[in-house]
Amino acid sequence: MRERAHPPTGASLAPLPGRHESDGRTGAIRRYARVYLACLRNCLARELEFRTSFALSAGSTLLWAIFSMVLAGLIFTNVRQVAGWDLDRMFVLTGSFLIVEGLSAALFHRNMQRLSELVNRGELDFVLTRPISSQFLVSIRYVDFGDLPTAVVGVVYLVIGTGRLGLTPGPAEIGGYVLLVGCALMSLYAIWFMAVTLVLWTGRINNIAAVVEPFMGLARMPSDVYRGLVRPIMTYVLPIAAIATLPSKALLGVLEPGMLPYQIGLAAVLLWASHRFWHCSLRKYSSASS
Amino acid sequence: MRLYLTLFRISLQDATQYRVESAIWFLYETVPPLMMAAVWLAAYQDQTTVAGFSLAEMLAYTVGVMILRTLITVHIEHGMDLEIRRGDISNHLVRPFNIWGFWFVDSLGWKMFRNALSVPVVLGCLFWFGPEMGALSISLDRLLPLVMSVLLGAVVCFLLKLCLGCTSFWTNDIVGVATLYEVVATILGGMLVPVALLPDWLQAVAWLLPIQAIYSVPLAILLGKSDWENAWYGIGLQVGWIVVLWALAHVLWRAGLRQYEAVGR
Repeated sequence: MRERAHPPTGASLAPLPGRHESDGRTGAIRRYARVYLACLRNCLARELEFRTSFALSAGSTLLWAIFSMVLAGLIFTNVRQVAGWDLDRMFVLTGSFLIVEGLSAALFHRNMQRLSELVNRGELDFVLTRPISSQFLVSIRYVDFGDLPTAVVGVVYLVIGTGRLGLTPGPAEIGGYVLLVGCALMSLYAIWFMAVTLVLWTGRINNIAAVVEPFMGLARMPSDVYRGLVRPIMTYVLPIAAIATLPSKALLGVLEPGMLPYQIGLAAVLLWASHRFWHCSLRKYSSASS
Repeated sequence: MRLYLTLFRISLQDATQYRVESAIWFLYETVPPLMMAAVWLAAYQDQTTVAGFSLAEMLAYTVGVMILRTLITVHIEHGMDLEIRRGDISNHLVRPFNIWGFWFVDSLGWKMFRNALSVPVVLGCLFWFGPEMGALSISLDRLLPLVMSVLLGAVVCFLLKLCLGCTSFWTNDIVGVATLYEVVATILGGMLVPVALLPDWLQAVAWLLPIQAIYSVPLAILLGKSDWENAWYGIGLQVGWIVVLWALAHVLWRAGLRQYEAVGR
């Protein structure tokens, strides 16, 4: 009901006339924050309505979260160490992987899936006509609360891992960790968004939003195991090392110096590229069927 | 027979038309084993055997599992779930063909396309891991049981997925069951790493599962591993599971159809 009182339409969200120019930016931020909150409220209400479906989705993501650690345990109880990683460090790495996986699934997965459907059905018009950034709206519309338990299990593994290693990370390590996880999420989003945006050029690809997942799964294992060109590509071009290996190294205090600023730069460049690509691809949009 | 050949041709055409979609699902079968190959290459720098496997054997297992995943794993349970949920299954039920037979040739058509994709990947693996796998030899007398066990494994996989798909008659949502299957198959079923990595007691439990008849039996015959050197014993196990799963699928199917309400029709 409250949703209807504040509809995300131009009428209520456009900057009020007579405002100062300097108010423009903070006004815009406030406006976007309000739209985001409205979407969040709407998604939460939805989850509370379909409780069985929520429990089922939360249950199966929990199962995957347990699977991740069992798989790591299976390998690392038979192997002493792989490229400097042992079972205790794998708790930290798996925890980090699950945190990024849980958050990215909760924040982006449904949106990316919906975006490809919007293009296929020619329903992108309804987004493009709104008085708000179209990239923003298609990227944040849905939040899947059922994926968040994965991230919680990730935090538990992280605590277990640091406990087993007898580590007490200081504020510098924790700060670096949080920043790197943020970078990983941003870079991952940008790559995912660009991949899905490709359908504007190619036409219908039903499962395009699923293309990122198998590559993301590569972050389940330390990126130090990869040889040849694969490792630098995963570290410097694609955000695969950034998902779990680099944050874990930051927490363990063994991150290469300069890596944190590089990853921040990479996330910024990928985000900018996704924005440019979106606008250049929109010209290809032919609004099929409408 | 001609009817099923035509159905097969239609599925193959579908798979070719949706080739990009098919290629994306193909990544789900090939990327995880490739990741494991990289892990094993790094792990063996520090030790010569892992759970009784040499590096050559472990790489052969990993590439073998990747081939089996693309060659014989079918995903009919998701299609069944969708058809049951939407009531589309009614369309197939009234047509003059065996619906199981239709699903079988349909999955075969989609498989054929993915198999074509896997040829370059397998060749790449043999090229990259060839030097490490060179020490491995497969005697020719194991070839016949190997081929037989792969074919039987395909039948076991189809019947097992048929049983999984039937659960949708009651749940109307396969997600929970499918997730459980994937997790169990990957950890206990040798779908990514050998069952030999498990602790002994869990191995004993794992060998009671029908999933072993899909991946572990053919790969044990390929590698000539432990008790399974007697390949015919493994094949006997597969035949046993085919009989059991066939019967189970019939029971579930009949009970399921009684439950089926043709929602949305």
